[in-house]
Amino acid sequence: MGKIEEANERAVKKILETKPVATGIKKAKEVIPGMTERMLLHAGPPIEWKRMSGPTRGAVIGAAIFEGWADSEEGAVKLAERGEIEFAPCHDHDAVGPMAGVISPSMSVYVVENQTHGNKAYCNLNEGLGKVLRYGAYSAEVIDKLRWMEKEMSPLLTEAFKRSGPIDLKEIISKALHMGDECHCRNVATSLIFMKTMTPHMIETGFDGEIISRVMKFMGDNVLTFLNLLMPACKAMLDAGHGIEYSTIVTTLTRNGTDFGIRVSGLPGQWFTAPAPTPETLFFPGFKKGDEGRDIGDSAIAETMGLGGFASANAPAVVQVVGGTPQDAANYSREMREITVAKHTSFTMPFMNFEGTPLGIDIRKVIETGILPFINTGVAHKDPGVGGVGFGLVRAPIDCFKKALKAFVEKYG
Amino acid sequence: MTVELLRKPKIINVGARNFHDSLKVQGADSVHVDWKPPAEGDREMMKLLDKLDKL
Repeated sequence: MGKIEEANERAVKKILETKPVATGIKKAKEVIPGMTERMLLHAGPPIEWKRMSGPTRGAVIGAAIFEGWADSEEGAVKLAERGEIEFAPCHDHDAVGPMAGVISPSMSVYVVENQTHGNKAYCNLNEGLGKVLRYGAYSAEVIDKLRWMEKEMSPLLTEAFKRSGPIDLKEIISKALHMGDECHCRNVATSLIFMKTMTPHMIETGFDGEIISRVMKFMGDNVLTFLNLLMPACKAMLDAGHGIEYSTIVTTLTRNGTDFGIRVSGLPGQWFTAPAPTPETLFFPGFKKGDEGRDIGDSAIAETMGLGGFASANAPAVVQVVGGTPQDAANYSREMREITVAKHTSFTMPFMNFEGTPLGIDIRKVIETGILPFINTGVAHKDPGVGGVGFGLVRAPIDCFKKALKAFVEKYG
Repeated sequence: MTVELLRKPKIINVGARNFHDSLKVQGADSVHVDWKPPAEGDREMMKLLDKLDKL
């Protein structure tokens, strides 16, 4: 066996043996490594203010207002233009964020621990669909909802986690894959299982019944409640396989609405980027082609882990949004086998004879076959201040992989 | 033998799928093999892949 094959086997083993558990909720500034008082984390590879996409700018404006750094859009923009806000990718701080992925110091984040290897991952709480910060909206109702989440939802969940103990996220994902979720755009079953798990503990807290009711209704109505636990679970698993000499395995696929970026296990500390593509989109009522922004969000960590588009066979309904069939859905999963080195041992696909989901994207296989990772995704409006416009399907751009292969050969070849 | 082959051709189509699709429309017995040149013919990428094969 060659050095690369040995290294990839080691990376996959570490990813597979990981047990990610949710242990609680903390303020971002208390737990995220390197988070400072004037820092905003964002999705995707590094980017400066002047190149940020509309939805990322919108989320930055909203976060600055939420933090009390500015009281208007104009004030927030001035702060960003003057360089008075420090920006950094979530991924470089052990965190992940869906869509714009903006995490500010005072926001609550889920704490996910890899019980096997000890690393941790963080993600903020999901705000639901439509006019929300992560899609670039920043109106008063968006900020009010964020403040309500900090005032009622976060304290209740914090206390509930103290009673529940660590929640096994891998087990929830494994079950949900057999209940119609592909665990990226469709997180219906994961969210229901999580709610079922947390409900008795929320009630046991002794919080006011009306608060419990409001939080349970909000979380129960939100079909993406679990996304913000799934993402750090995937991050915790994949980070376990990052930084292994000679490994060609991709440990991050992510986007910031301007650039698409990947990280590779054997090339720690480096980003390989290309312009983010525009997803093929099914629009929410009231939106039309041309409204959509370019691909955005850390949530493609799901595909990196063999979920989402890679597990399409489990959720034909997601492919149907762009007119696809159940056969198309299965074909996407089959196709992803061609660019991966393993099959997941816990995440399986009933319609594929319980075959494991395709795991371990190999940059060599992507270049050799020309097959690009297939991603299910939310789609934000191209302009700041609007919000979500639909769901879509997209492929990672090949130039990220070409750049990574060149760097890999420079280092090891 | 040649005449028989012309009457009932059995075809393996490699590469561009539209040749296979056209044959099927005409009732021919065609099997499609989905094949592309490695690295989509990018010589620089092929050289890099070759280097890694030796590791």
